[in-house]
Amino acid sequence: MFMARGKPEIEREKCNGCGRCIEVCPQNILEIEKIGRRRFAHCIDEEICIACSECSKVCPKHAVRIWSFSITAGG
Amino acid sequence: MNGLTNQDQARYSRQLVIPQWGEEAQRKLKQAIVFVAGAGGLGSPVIMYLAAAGVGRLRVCDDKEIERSNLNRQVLYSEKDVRKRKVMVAKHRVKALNRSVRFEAIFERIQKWNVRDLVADSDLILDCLDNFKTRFILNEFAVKMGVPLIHAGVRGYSGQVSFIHSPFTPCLSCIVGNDVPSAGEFPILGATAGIVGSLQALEALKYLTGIGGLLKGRILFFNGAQNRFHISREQKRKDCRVCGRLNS
Repeated sequence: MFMARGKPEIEREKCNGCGRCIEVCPQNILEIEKIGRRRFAHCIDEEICIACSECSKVCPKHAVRIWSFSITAGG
Repeated sequence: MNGLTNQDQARYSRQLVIPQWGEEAQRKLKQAIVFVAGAGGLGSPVIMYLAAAGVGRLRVCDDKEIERSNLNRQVLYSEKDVRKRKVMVAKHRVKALNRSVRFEAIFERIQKWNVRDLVADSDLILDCLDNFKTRFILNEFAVKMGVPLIHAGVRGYSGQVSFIHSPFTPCLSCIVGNDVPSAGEFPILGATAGIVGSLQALEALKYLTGIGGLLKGRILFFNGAQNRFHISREQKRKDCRVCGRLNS
């Protein structure tokens, strides 16, 4: 796989704040954000996401989507 | 003579009024020498926009002739130009657009042994190439000489741009490593090359004038199919085969 980077997108309507994504993120860029009584996963630094998609794989609510970007060679 | 003439004042009047731009920025452009590697899909918008903006000297290097299949994206060229040398046609287009630009047409392949003579005393290198083999030659030269290099690449609906200035930023090898895609006969839309090449030209104009923020240590990715932009932050690699010794 060529160098790829990612941008996590978390759907708040689906996220139940279980925190599994936070445990598996190798870049430590996910945190829980509390709004009222609800808890959501939240990305604190999307500039260093490496598009590994571990967060997306473990999410029981399918609330995390990773937009993947990779290096292209053409000119 | 690097002052602005009355003709310059009229020609650039719409950019002279951009906040912070003014005559000083315009004079900096007029004094600049920019090396453009590749006059294809990325090179086309880069060359046109840099010439239109008033960059004083463009040194454009490409060793190819125009093919009919280039015309979907390489907007410098027309049907009557097929089989002509790209750099020569580009020179005529630029002269018609802005005759005050000094255009040096270099019909050569960039190689390790000639890169120094080709880039010479350029202030900035623009990587509008279509392969990483040549990109790495340019990157090594840019790192060695401390010349800033603006990298870009495209494919299909996607592309990326990054501002590289070793030792202040990671170099191209730090960012992409050794496992790089080969372009070959890559799919590409002209509009994609137009957007990414325009971003690259904009980055060059910001650097040359000193106005605005640059993609130093960052890559701006564009995905036109999904209308998405993303910026990723990159690190220098201590084990980088090109700039590693500078990072320790």
